[in-house]
Amino acid sequence: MQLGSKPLTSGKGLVEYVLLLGLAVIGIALVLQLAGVRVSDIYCNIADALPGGDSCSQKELCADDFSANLSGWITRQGTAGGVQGGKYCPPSYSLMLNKCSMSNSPKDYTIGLDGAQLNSGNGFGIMFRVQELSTGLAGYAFQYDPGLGGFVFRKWAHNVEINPPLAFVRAPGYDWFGEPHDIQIKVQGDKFTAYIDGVAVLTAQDSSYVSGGGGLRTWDSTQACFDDFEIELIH
Amino acid sequence: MPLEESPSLDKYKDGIPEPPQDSSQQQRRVRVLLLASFLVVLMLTFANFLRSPISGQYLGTGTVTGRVFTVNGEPFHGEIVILGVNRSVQTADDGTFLVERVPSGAQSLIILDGKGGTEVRVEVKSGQNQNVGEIIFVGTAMPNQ
Repeated sequence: MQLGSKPLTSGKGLVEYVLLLGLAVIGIALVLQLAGVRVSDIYCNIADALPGGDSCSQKELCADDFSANLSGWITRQGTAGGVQGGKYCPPSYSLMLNKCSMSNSPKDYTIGLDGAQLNSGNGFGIMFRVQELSTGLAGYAFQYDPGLGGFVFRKWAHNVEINPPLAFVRAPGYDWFGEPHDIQIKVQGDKFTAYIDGVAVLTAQDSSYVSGGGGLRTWDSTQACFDDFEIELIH
Repeated sequence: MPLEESPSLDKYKDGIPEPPQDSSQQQRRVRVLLLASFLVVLMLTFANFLRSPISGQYLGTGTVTGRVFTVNGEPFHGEIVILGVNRSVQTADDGTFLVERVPSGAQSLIILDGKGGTEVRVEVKSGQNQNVGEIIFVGTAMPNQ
């Protein structure tokens, strides 16, 4: 071995080992992505588990407790109705979009409607990942739907709802009317899960739309009131 | 080599020591491993690309044909749209349709009548026609206004 060649060779070797390590990390990330596991989820799970780690906890993006008026909402179908005693009681036919979430167009989030009480009619819907395209409204809706006798996830395109539903579950014997319920929809990747009072009632999967805002919808003589509307970002 | 750096005889008391590993051979091994890792990463990247929604735009286009009827068995008149792609056509008088230049891969075909829509999933192959056959249009009930 010649004098002076050793440090040069060692340096080159180190660069190669670093490159190998980098490629291994990228390879693992790509394998996880192929398997449908998100690297950010793994990072967040670890970060959340560490003491003082709150970097990945849910963060509130938009909220309306309906204590004032409906200035934070856009009427897209029917009429807006009004706020009564800290609750929003829409008319029997309406589609309202939440301005804050529409302008932010978030990807993954939990959309919640607390104290949602249906008094009569065929049901109401919570819209999510809604976009206003040149061809009309596009997005998804979860329907609390005694008219169909169950819970429904639907896709929207070109301003209309699309058949067949993404998911539907009958709920025979369910007490639809006169009781307030907390409804939550977890929208993450291409999977959507609806919870009523903390219990998962329906899941669906679709990858047509990856981001968009939230809204509320009523139809068929529905009489309903809603207490709090909230969108929390996931990660 | 200075005298003080010369090996002592103690080093040879158990016989002649193994010659040090050839560093160039070791380097060659690392480089082969590096190249292999690079190729694996390249293949994984390609596999991920194939699964992505945009892959269809780069992997060629095909056509989709079919015929739509109403629930009463009459030819359907309306619009056929490929979701997420700027492709739409009107059905002919007999309910048939032909959508050209549809990106290959899994696509969502939507049949619209202005009040509701029916979705059909279709797998488009580059340079080929995919016939979805006869479809019954079922519009969803629109809310009373």
